[in-house]
Amino acid sequence: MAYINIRNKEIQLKIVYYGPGQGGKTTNLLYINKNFSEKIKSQMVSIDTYGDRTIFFDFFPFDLGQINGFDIKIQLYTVPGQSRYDATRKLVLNGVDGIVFVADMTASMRRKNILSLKNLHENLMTYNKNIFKIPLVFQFNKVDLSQKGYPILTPERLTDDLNRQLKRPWIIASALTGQNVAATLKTVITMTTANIKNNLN
Amino acid sequence: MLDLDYNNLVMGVEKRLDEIFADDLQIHSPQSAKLKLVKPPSLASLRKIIMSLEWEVTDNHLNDLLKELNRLQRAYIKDDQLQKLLRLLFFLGRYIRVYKSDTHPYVFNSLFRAYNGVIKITSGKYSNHQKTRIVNDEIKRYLSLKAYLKSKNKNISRRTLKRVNTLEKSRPSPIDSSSKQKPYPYKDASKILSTTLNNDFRELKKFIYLEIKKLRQDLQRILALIPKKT
Repeated sequence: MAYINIRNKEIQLKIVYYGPGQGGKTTNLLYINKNFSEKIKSQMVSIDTYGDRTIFFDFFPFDLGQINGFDIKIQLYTVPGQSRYDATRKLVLNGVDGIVFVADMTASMRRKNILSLKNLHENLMTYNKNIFKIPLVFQFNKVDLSQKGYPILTPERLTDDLNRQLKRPWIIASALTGQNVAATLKTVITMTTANIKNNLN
Repeated sequence: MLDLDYNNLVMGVEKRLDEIFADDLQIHSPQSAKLKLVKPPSLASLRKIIMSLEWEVTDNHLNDLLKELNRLQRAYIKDDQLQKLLRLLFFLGRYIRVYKSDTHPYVFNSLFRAYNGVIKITSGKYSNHQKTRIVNDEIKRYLSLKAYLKSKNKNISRRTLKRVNTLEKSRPSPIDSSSKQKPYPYKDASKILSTTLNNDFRELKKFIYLEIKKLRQDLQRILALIPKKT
């Protein structure tokens, strides 16, 4: 749940990038870190990585500054996508306010995307959170692969697989080139802020 | 008071994010056009479909309605109240598509009333509190309609069951009818009957004999497969 301190006028939002292994969650954060770290005056912290694989999690806190008298602080997290690190994923999801589900558009990743979403649903249930109620944005990542001639899943197929019941906003992106990385982050932060009202109620 | 602050807060956050990511959002504008799908579109096409449904209920109109409702649900993702009404309309539309001409007229009334609710909510003339009341009223009506239809279906099934039972009782059983039946008028009837029975019996005997033969062969084959103990 969002940390809201009415007295100090401070709001802290926790946003988690979730998805199958090697789907591009860390690449999303790396792009933001590389291109906007000066503007948001923050640095990404990567905890326990083995080569290019996340074993524990990546953490990227930043401050949006004073808005309407409230100090808005955003914390971005990624989870390890590999199936064996389920305990870590569960741990990182504790107190989550908004989720970016980074789905891999590679054709061979169809099953893994579905399994990862199912895993997200199960892990959220352990914290009594409902996937249908939490702010969630789908990012269909690795669209750049189609230009290189790799077979990719169409957005329609991905929407049908993952978003048929949830009906959440989805964005086609390429974390590697930075295409729509910021747009995804903007959407999830806006949705999460809009959801604060429910938390206050 | 809190509502006003909250709305300003969301707008403020959006503005600040635009400032931070301005360059990036501009560079990737063609792709971020996808985001525009999320922005609320007009309800003109929904109105058109509802009006056509008022005139004539066809499969095409119903399919269009469900498609349009799906689109609107995606578009109005942030509007909780409208989402509820759109979902309600979707359920009603789906019900009509399944039951077709057997649909109860109350369902159509409910559909048109829910649509009016959507129009009211999007008109911008009502406060949040009034909107919630409109939606809650519609949901209550929908639930009572659902309960009514359920009870009606139950009654129908009970009634049909009762009718079937009475029909069964009134219909004479084959045993009774045979006992009351008059003797066959043909004089050699008993002779014919005995020969047909004999033939049937012979055929049955032959069939059983063949089946036993087959079973014996199968059994022998299975036994041959089992290794003998030394």
